[in-house]
Amino acid sequence: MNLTHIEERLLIGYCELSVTAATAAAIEAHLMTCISCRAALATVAMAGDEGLASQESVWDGVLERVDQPTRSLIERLLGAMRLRADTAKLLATTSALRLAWMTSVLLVAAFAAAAARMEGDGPWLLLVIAPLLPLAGVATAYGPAFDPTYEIGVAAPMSGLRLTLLRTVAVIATTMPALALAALVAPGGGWSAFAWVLPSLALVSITLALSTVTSPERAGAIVGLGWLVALVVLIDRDGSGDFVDRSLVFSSSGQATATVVAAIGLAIVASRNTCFDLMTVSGGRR
Amino acid sequence: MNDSTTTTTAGVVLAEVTKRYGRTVAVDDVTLSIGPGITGLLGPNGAGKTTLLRVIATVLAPDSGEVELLGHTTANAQSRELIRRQLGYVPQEPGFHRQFSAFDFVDYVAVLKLITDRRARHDEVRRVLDVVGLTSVMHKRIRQLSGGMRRRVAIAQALLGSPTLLVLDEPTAGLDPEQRLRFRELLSNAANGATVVLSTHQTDDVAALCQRVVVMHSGVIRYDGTAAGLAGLAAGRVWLADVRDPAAQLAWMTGDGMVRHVGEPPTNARLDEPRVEDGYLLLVGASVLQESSWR
Repeated sequence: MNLTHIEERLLIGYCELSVTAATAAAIEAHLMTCISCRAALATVAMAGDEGLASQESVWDGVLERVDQPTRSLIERLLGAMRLRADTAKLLATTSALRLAWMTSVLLVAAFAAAAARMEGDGPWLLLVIAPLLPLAGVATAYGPAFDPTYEIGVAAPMSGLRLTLLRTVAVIATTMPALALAALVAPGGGWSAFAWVLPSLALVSITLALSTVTSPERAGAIVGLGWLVALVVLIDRDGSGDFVDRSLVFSSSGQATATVVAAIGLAIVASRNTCFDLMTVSGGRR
Repeated sequence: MNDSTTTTTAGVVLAEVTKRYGRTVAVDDVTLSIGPGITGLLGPNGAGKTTLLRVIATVLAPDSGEVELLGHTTANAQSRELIRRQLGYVPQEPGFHRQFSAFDFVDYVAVLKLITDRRARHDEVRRVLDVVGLTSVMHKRIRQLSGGMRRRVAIAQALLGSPTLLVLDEPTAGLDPEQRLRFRELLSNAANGATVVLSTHQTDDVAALCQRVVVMHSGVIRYDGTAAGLAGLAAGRVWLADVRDPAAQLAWMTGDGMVRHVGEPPTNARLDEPRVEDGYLLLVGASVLQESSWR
């Protein structure tokens, strides 16, 4: 390569993306500092592409390629799933998409499934734990305690509800498949091993509704506690069979109730949607 | 950037604004109009500056009172969105997603600011990072950047879209003197025609940068005027003496070995030129020195 300026054949190769990455990098490094080569590149590019009108737009294109942001693994995965780049960008800030979170979900699900296999008394542990996982994910997906850019986000014109729902969907989409897998391998469950699905959705929906009046992590803690209390209290004491058989929560009327609760939660969220556009934190620093 | 509805000259109009946290009144019945130019909010910790700035940044709703920003009320979501499209905000302790580079982070905020076209967004991200002088490190991860650089990243995101209202909560905290000088330079350039409200502990920031100074203490406004006027409050009340007057409430040893007194004259003292700091201390000093919150 000519050390002072870039040969035309290389510029053509660069425009056609036929040069190696190393050569492209060298060309870009030179273009950053050399105005005459930028002009030459513009001429070459215009000869090859009538659509490129000005040297400035060519230079913008070069900058765009040089300054391509480094996308995280999550962003690239989401990109591969054909999500729009800006949506992927928003999701990449969801803590529930971190490797640590996903690993712990898998571990807990595997533990619950293994316990069901060893104890041999059905998947009751999975049913108790499973709804708490999406709940924990959602409670820590947004809000001032877990989103370091929370305040900047609230002051931005994008709807807080949209961001919250986007992150909630991300939590559900990563947590539920792991739990479903655990339900499949847990013995003696059959369809009853999936009795956690509707309660999970109900708990998430109520957490979102509650987070319009308090912080999401507090809402999550209240709802999680409520779930455990309901499991203990709503038991058919005269009934027979194991915990799952006697639990009213996992009965068909319990499932119907969960559906209604989920719907009520969503209705509250919809009617209070603008609450996601203001800080819910009270107290704290002045 | 101005649309036809933003005809009011004052970018910020607060009328009888009050905000409480439990029994504590953080902002107490504040009425204030702020126009284009740089206005500095000065006050000790716990004075209510951050709460007031959060109200001006639309993130916190007051318990009572009216807030009008850029000609729009903050009372409903639709008009809040209109304000936010022209708003830049640096919170007191801006956090970052630490796996992000400076470019990624500002790009993320640009997505939140609804700049959807990718090419245009990246151009704008590069522009604001250039304004704060971070072009050479924009692809470094934020956790690798120094504290001063992180401050500049936070300022960069606020400049996205050239906002007409810029709210900055202690933007110079943690900056060394050279960085503070650079910040003043960049802010006076960026402020061009916009309404800028910033809070600070630094009286010299206010003297160097702000056309208007508002001193806040215990939730109320104690002074509103120019920096020179604030210094003027201490005219005839700043004394230099060789020894500290035992009765003095506000006195400290200066670099040249003299003891500077603000308030009543000690014996064998001579009058000195008042500075912004002296006027500020006279307003809030005595009570502040008794408070443990003073850092």
